[in-house]
Amino acid sequence: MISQWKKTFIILSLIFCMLLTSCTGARELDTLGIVIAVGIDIENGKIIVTNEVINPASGKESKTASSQDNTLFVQGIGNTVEEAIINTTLTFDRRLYYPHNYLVILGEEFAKAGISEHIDILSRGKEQREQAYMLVAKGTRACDVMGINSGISKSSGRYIYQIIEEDIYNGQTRTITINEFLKYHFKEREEYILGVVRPIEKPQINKNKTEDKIQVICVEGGAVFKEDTLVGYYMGDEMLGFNFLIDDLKMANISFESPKYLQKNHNLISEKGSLSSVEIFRSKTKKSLKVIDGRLHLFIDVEFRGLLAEETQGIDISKPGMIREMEKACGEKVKSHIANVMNKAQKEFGIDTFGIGELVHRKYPKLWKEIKDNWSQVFVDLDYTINVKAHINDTGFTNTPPNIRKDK
Amino acid sequence: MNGEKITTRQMILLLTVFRLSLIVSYMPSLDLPPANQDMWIVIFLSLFYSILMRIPILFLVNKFNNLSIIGYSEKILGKFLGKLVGILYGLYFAIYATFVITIQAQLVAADILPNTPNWLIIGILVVTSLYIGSKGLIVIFRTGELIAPITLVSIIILIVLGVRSVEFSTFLPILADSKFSEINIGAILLSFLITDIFIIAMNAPYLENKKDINKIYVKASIYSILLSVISVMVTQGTLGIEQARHANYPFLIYTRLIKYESILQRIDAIYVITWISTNILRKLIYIYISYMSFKEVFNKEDGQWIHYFIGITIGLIAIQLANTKVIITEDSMLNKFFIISSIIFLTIIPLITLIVYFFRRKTLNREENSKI
Repeated sequence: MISQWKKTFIILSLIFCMLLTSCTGARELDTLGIVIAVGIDIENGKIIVTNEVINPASGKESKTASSQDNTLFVQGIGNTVEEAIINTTLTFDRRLYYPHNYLVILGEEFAKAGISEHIDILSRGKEQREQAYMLVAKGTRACDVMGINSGISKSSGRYIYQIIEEDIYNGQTRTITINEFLKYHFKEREEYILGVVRPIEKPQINKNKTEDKIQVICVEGGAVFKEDTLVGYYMGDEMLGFNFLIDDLKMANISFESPKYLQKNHNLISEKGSLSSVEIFRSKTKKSLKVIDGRLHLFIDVEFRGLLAEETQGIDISKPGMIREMEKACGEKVKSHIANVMNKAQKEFGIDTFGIGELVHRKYPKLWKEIKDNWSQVFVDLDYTINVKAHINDTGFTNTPPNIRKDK
Repeated sequence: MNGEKITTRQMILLLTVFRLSLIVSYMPSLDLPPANQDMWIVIFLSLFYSILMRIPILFLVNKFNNLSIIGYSEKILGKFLGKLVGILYGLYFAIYATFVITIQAQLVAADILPNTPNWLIIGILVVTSLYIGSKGLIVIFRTGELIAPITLVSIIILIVLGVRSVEFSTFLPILADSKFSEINIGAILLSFLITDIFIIAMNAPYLENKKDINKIYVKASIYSILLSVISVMVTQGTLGIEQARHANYPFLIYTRLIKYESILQRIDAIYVITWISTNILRKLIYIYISYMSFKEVFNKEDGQWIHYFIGITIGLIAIQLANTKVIITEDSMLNKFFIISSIIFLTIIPLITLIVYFFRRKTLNREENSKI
């Protein structure tokens, strides 16, 4: 038999359990401004935070509401990022809520001014998730790239997010999350790259629209940081070389010219084509170091597999030896991408953005202790050798391109 | 106790999860020397030191397995000194329980209940602990036997889910950046942060099989060290060495990074809930053994009021600490205090007691024989 006291206690406990499910600090959905993209700029010493906030009312309103009406843009200004965020409550009727934010866009001026004193909130805050992507708005402010939606997504934040998520198909870009950024930021003598986002104008094709031009977002390239300051950019082709070098290439397309002598003896319909394309689906890069004649020498060995996606040069790849030649030509092109990015890092930026210092540290820890304080100078003079092995696994459904006639 | 005893398995399970919950909470090991990629070696080495530094207390517990620390202290050191030692141990356990409750309240406030007042969180924790404790030691261990496997499985699942984002090259080069002295100092300091030998020492009289004391301690140490090493390695490998040191709760950040498409993400609350469950047991055991110490010192048969008094006092102090100390684990004075007090209570006092025992061995054996 359960005593009266115990019965009361059990009933009270159950009531408390039900009440405590909405304990203190609970926030109702209609008091939240759910942020899906954040842009941070600096102007006259003040931080400007631009937030793209979901508009929950747009789904209920007229079906003719455009996708732009799905979100609102809320700006706050302050001396710090947190102050700017809090100041949005002076003009906006919701408290901003960040757990669903997956984009942090830094304006170019903000990035050039140095970011480490302003990014504390990204790791200290409980709401902002560490899987959000960090990007730099190339040549413009962060708020200028927000609000552009030229895709199928319902909001511009989602549009940019989806483009970034698709980066696995294109090696000309780089995606870094907040967690990865902090990991590289704290490493000594290794600089990092952030992703890039920029608006570009394109002609309007839809004849039903009145504007001549539309703005689209492009994520090609990478923003190079030294310590916490933006120092420059890698272009699209350089990013291909970069991704090969750090062994982070998932998929890419390499367009290259094959030697002209391969076209000999072909019954060409058109001679205008000059490029072939290989779609890479698997790549592996091994970097090794050796000390040769008292100098460090870096060996970069790349091996990748792909399929021949397009061939416009009029080369009959069904002939023996043609695939080998194509592989060699493709390999040379990749080699040139890697050489270009190494040259740029050494000559223009003078900083190691590839983690080669870490490689020295691992292989030659004693030598690293001697040179680590002078690593930038050592890196600038570092010799390297690139070896590329390309394998074309598949040539698709055709063996001869349409611009030649096959011999009988 | 109705003749019920604590089984070997219950004790091993509890000790394993207690150590693991300490390591994965605020990862004190990350800031110990050499504070680099070799911390996993430090944790492995701390196993050796944690056994070495506890040889005196293990010897005494084995020798006097029918008595608690207070019991054999009184026997060896005499009534007055024995009781003084008992009071000191009682206070030490109470202070440790306060520390554990405060960390728990701060972690809960950090992740799942940021706006809930500390008095409410700590109040609920203390009331729960006192209620379970009031049912007796065997109930505590049975509860632990239920919760410990859930804790272990949860932590293992979290480790497995996040392992794909671990960069194993983070741990290279091995031992190139660490000095031999740094590794050993770090291992010794870590061994002193783990104080769960007292749970065996105070509960030895209630063990089902008293011959298993050494086996319990060694097995629990090995299991917990293995899991601790893996937890620290996956955290450092995912966050990076420096970022892990910057975080207040590194393993929590690690669990926040677990993501499998849209199916599995934002599961950090699982870690917090698992950790809360284990920590409730850890602090209630420390409150209970503090109560047992004072009960034995003051010879109280029915001293439940001592138990409630200790629990309420601990709760009030923990509320004050949680409200005034921003992050208790970052307070270097408190950390120094705990390490020094652990050295004193884990090694120095048992060593002195052991030395006195060896001098008085013949007298004590004669007294034992005359009783028989």
